[in-house]
Amino acid sequence: MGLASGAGAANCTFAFNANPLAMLLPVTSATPQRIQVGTVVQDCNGNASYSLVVASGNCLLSQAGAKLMDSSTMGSVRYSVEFDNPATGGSQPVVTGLLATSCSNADGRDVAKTKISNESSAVFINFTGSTLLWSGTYGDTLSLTLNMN
Amino acid sequence: MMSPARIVGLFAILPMALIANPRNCLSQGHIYLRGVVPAHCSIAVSVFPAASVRPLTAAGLRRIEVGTILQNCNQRTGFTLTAASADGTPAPAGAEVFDAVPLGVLPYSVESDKPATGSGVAGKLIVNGTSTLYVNFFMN
Repeated sequence: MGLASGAGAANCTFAFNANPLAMLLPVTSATPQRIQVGTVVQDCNGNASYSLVVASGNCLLSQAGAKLMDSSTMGSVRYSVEFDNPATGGSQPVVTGLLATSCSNADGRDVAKTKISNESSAVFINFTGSTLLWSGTYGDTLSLTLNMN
Repeated sequence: MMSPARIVGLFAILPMALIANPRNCLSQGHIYLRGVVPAHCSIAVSVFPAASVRPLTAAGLRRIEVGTILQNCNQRTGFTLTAASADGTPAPAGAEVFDAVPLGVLPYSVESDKPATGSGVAGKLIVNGTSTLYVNFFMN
């Protein structure tokens, strides 16, 4: 008895690390902000391709697009997501504008069948705050999903 | 023709192959984002010179502009702007200009010209809103 012929099993591990600055966003600053909110550390034995996909919990509320929201006032600050990746496996080094106006197809990194060893993708959010916001707490949840292809 | 044992063995291999070569492994993590806007409400009072020099010798009903109140507030619940008179408690009650010698009083009332955004109105972000204050009194 043996396994099906062909490539062996894909063996990949991923670690998500949040940056404390993700909870201290300067939403009242009226100048453009680029804040690193976390990293995704990846290891993969190269037996499968994979995609790193990002989603926003508030994306579908009101006008489509990622946004920080205060549920009590419905005030919001729109943002987009950026990934800075190693170029291994055909990855784009910089992917910007994710979730700016759309809530689907937000691939931060696409990796072809390539051995990946302890590589990090940096996750940023880009936004411009406002001095004309209601007082409150503006938040969102970014979900990062690794899809094996 | 395969023996029953070989047929059973073949079916045993297939599900293990599927398990051993997964094609749709998912792994997910979350990053929580947050920014806080502190509540801030403030007023700045500007006093006009006319508040100190009143035409107390001119008879009739007078309406004097005495100052402005610049308001800023980012609380959705709003605020209330109130006025009080330091000389209002001695009888009879009410705002009054008081002269200790020869113990004369001149009652007056306060009028506020609210900005379009509405002092004391909830639900409106107040940015540099201005109310103008007047005193109204009657000279015999």
